[in-house]
Amino acid sequence: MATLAEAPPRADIQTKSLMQREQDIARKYMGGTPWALVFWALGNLAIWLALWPAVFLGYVPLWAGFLVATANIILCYLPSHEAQHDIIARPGTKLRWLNQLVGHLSTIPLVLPYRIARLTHLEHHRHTNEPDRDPDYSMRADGPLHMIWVSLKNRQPRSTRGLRGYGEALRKIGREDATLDGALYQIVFYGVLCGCAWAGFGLEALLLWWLPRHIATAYIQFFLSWAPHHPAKATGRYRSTRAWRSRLGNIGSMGMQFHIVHHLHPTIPLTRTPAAFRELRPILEARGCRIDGL
Amino acid sequence: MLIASLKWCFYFGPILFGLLFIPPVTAQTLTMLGWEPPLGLTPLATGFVLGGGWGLYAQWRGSWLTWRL
Repeated sequence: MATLAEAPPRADIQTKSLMQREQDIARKYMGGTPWALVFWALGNLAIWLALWPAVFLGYVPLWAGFLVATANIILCYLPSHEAQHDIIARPGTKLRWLNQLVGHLSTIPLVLPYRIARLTHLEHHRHTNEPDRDPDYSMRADGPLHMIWVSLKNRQPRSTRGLRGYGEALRKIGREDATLDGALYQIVFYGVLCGCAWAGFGLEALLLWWLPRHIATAYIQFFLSWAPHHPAKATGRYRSTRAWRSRLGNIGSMGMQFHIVHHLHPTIPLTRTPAAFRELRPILEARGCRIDGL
Repeated sequence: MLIASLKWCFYFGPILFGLLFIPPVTAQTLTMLGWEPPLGLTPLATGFVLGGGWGLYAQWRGSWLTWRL
C-alpha cells in the first residue's frame, strides 16, 4: 500500500517532466549582458535629442524629423523593459548601474518614469488579465481599431484607465511615492512644449515630441499590452498570454509575437525569445498554450 | 504648498494646455500656411479662441475627443 501511495499519478510525472524540460531550455537563453539593447537605448535617445537642434537649425526638414522622432519614441520602451526585468544586470552585480541607467534614460521621450514603468509592469506580470489587479487590463478591446480608440480614450484628462490608472495601481501596492516621478516628468514635458511654442518653435515641439509620443503610446500599447493578451479573458501561467503571427512581422511587432516566452521566463532577453520559442514550442503545445498562426 | 500647486496645475491641465500651447502653435501654423484668420483676428488671437474653447471643453467634459468618457 505504501508503495502505491508513494507512486505519483502518471499525469503528474508528465507535468513534472514538462516543467523540467521547460526550465532546462529556458535557462540556456538566460544570462549575459544584452549589449545590443544597451546600444539601442543610448543610441536611440542620442538620435532623438540630436533631432531637436538639427530641425531647429534647418539641417533636417521637420517632416523627416517627425518620422524619425516617431520611430525613436516607439523604440524607446523595449530597452527599459529589459531593465525592468533586471536583464541587463541583476541586483548586486558589477553592471547594475548600467541596468538602472538604461531603465531611467530610455523612456524619457515617452515621458514614462522608470520606477512607475517597472512597478506597474511587474504587477502586470503577477496578475495578468485579472480585472482589479492587472494595471494593463483596461487596454482590452474587441479588435485592432477598437484598441486604438480605447488607447486614445484612456489618455483623456479625466480617464482613470490605462496610463491614467497607474496612480491607483501604485496606491494599491503602497508605492504612491513613485507618482511624484510622474508629476515631475509631466511638468518638464509640458514646460518644454510651452517654452518651445512661445519661442516660435511650437510646430517643432508638436512634431518632435507631442504627436510622436501619442502615436508611440498607441503602438506600444497595441503590441505589448493588447495583442499578446487578447481577448484578455484567461488567467494562469500558460493561458494569460499567447504567441501570434503579426502582419507587421517580428520587427514591426517589436518581437511581441513571442511574448508568451517573455511571460513564462521574463529574464530571457528580447533578442533571444524567437529561438527560445522555437525550442519551447512542443512544450507550449503540450501545455495547451495559444499559438495563433505561428 | 508645492503638492497643492501641482494638484491645481494638473486639475486645470486641459485649460492650461489650451491657453499656453495651442495658441502659439496655431499662430505659427497659420503664418506658415499664409492663411488669413476670419473677422480680422490676428493668428495668435485665433489660437486663443481655438485653444481656449477646446481647452474649456476638455476641462468641462474630461475629454478632448468625446462628449462622454
